[in-house]
Amino acid sequence: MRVFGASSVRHPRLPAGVWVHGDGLLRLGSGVVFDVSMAPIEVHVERTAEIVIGDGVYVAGGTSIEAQYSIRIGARTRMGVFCKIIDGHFHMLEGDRHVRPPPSTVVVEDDVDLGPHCILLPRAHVARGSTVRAGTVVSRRFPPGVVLGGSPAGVCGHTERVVHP
Amino acid sequence: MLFHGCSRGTHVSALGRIHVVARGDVRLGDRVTFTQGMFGSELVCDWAGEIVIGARSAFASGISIRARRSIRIGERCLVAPLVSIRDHDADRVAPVVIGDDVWIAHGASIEPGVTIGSGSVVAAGSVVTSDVPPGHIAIGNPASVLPIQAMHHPQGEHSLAVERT
Repeated sequence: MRVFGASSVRHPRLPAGVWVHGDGLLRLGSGVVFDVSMAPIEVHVERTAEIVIGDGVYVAGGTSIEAQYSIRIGARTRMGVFCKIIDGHFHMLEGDRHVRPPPSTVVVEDDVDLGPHCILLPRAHVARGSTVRAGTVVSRRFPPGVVLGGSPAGVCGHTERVVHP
Repeated sequence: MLFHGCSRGTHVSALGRIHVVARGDVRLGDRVTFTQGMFGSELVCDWAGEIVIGARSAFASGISIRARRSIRIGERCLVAPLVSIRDHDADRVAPVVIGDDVWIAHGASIEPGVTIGSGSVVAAGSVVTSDVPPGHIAIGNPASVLPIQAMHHPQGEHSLAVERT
């Protein structure tokens, strides 16, 4: 599924409750599930930015994904409720405030399990097969196959998960 | 009428849903803005309470501000989505003071009795339980306080700020 120039508030090919806005590129793999049964989901792609969501990703309600530059989510990743993924600062540009710091890429690799209320900030990189515990705030790169927890995030252990080749 | 019962300056606006209960004294400065988003915001001021918001402060969506005695927010503050600011909990009531140019990032909670100095930053997902001096950053749950200079990004601007170096 590919949504290009998704400038409408609700794109006709996405279910009601998925709130797509911005003029950037949103690329969805096959079998992506947006579960809006308990809360809406927001996908915001600014002009010149892109969000790539891989095959079989599950996105729970209340999640918000906002890109000014680039966000990539790998295949079979599962996201818990009220996750937030941003790759830049979304300050209102108003009055004498007209510069934002430059955005940086956010990458979530394949087979990652993001718990509820996670926050992924600019420069976050969660490598394949990792688990991110509830409420974790990630803003840097971590090795594959680890359990992340805390605010700011730290390594709490290692996953035993079978990772697709 | 929107902002019924509030005294407000010029160009005060709410671009999304907002629930206002102004039983006490609510004063909004010039150009205070509540932006649109997935969730509505709430501004609740009890009898004999006060909420004072300085000019040009910008609020995102899903924000909860609940005052029983006093919440004061300075000028040009930036408040991200799903932030909660309250001056009471089950067993205490203590005023909250937030200085000018404070940036409160996504999902942070400001607990009763907290004073945040001007120019400080509250990192995403933090729970602020103690005072933050001017020019400091509060990170974690419960938040620890560090000087902002320690957090500088190599490119000059401080990051969204959950990296401990």
